[in-house]
Amino acid sequence: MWWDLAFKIFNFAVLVFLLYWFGKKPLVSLLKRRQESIKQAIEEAGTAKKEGEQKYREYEEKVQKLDQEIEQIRQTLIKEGEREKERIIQEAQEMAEKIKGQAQLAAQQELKMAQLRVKEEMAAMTVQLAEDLLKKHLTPKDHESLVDEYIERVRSLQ
Amino acid sequence: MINRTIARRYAKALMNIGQEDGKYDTYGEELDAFTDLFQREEQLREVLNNPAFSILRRQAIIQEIGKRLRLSSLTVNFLHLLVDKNRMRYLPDITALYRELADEAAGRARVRLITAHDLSKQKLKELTTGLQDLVGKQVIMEVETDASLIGGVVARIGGMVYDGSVKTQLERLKETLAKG
Repeated sequence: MWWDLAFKIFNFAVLVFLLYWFGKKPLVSLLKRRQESIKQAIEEAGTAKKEGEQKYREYEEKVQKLDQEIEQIRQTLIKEGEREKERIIQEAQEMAEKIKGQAQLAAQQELKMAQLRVKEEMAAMTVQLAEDLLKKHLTPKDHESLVDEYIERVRSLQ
Repeated sequence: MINRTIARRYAKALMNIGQEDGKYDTYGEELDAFTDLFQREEQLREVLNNPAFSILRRQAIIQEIGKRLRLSSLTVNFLHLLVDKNRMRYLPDITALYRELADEAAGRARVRLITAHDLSKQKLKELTTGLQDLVGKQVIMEVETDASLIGGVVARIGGMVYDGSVKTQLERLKETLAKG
């Protein structure tokens, strides 16, 4: 009975020893590998985290820069728009001045023409009146006097 | 221009003959008489210019007119030549140029006098003398009446115009008034 118990204990002890003896190395190795793989995974995760953070910072920087670029483009566009506006206004003013000048010139010209027409009209009316009077009152004697004057003029030309 | 060149050639040819035999004035008068008829009678003009009538037939017509107008044979032959060379349409130009050549040869000037009213013989004589003294040549007066002159006279001698008409004076007055 005691022996039986002792034998069992002994058996158990031998089993433990054998397990320890043969199982120690693979188990330790397995555990080490497992430990290293976990460590590597942790390191990789850390690196990935760092890279991710780096990327995040980069993108954040880019976004900030993009905002700046957009702002720059906006400012440039505003300036160009201002310049274009000024140019158009300048051109319009010049054109307006030109049209005004031309209109003034045309008006002056028109006025001159009208004055000339009035003078011509008046001259024509005056002469027509004189012609009518002459036709009515010119006698053969007057005609003879005119011919005499003409003869005198011809003689003076010699 | 071409018309005048052709006409001048014929006028000169006739003038040369006229100067040789001393009858250029006679030929001029005859040419004037025939041209006057030629310009007055449309039918005659049409017949003489129409190639549908034979040359002989047209020359026979000229012969007949020549007899009636008592034209010299040289003038008739000259007109025959114009028909023969188909130059009858230049006759008015030939006559005008011949007149100029004959006047030049005789040392006289032709004056186209336009008057507003008829002139008395005395006044015409005075005018003729005045113009003769002016151009230094004998003048032949061709007087026309044109009432539109209102008063006074206009004399054209060659390219010169001596204007003494009331119409022109009124025109000048109108220009002066319009400018002033």
